[in-house]
Amino acid sequence: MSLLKDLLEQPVLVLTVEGDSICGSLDGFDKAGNVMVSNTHGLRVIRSSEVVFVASYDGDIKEFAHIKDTKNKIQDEYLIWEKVWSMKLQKLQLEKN
Amino acid sequence: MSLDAPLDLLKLNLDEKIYVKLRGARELSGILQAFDSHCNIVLSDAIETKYELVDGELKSTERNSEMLFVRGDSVTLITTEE
Amino acid sequence: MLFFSFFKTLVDQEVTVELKNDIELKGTLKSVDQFLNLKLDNISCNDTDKYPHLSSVRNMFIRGSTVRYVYLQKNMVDTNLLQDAARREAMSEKK
Repeated sequence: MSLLKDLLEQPVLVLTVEGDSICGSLDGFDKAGNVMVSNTHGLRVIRSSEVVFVASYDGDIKEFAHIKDTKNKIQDEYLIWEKVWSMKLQKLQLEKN
Repeated sequence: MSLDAPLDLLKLNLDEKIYVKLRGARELSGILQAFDSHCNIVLSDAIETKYELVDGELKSTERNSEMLFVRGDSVTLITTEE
Repeated sequence: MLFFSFFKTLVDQEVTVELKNDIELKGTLKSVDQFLNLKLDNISCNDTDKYPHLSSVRNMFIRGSTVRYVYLQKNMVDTNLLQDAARREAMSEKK
C-alpha cells in the first residue's frame, strides 16, 4: 500500500464503496490499505474494503454529491438477460431463414 | 494440447475472438491477448454492449475500445463466440 | 503476477480507468502494486457535471477491486510479448 505514501498528511478525499465522500487529512494507513482520516468531525478509520479511491483534494466544495455505489448490481438483471437471449435467438432464426 | 482445466480453454484461444459476459448486464467481444487465474483479461478490438430496460424495452449501447483490460471479478462467463 | 508486470510496463502512459460506479478517470499511470491498486496523476473526470467536487481532484490512489475496465491504446502493448507471457503464466500456475 506504499502507493498511499505521497498522500500522507495531505488534504484528501476518500470515496467509499457506498458512494460517500469523506474529506480530511490522511493521518495514516497500514499494509492492508485501511486508512485514517481526520477532519473537524474527528478521526475516522475506513476499512480498506470500503475504499474506492483516496485522492489529493484542495477543492472548495465541502458538500459532496452522492456518487453511485460500486456494487455493480442491477435490479432484476436476469430479466434483462432473458430479453437479450430471446432477441439473439430471434436474430439467429432470421439468419437461418 | 489437453483441456483438463477450465482456463486451458483460454490458452487455446489466445489471439482468437472470444465473448465475455459481465456483471451489470454487459457483454464484450474481442481478441484475447492475455488472461490469468482470476479471469483478469486483456482484449484488443473490444466491443462492449451494455443492456438496459427502458420502460420495459430492451435498449443496448455499444462502445469500442482498441485495447481493454477487464478486471476478473466482473466476469461471469467466457466463451468462444456467441 | 502477469498483470502486475503488465501494468508496470504502462507506467507514465495515459490511461482511462472505468470504476464499477461508472465514473471514468483519465490520467497518467504513476504506479501499481501486486493487488493492481493504481496511482494516477493529472486526472480528469468524465462526470464533473454530476459530481462537481471531482473536478478538483488531480492525483489519486485507486483500490484495484473497484476497477471495471482500464482503456488502453494499441500502441502501448506488444501483443506478441503479452500473449507469450500469458501462456507462460498459465503453465506455471499448473504446477
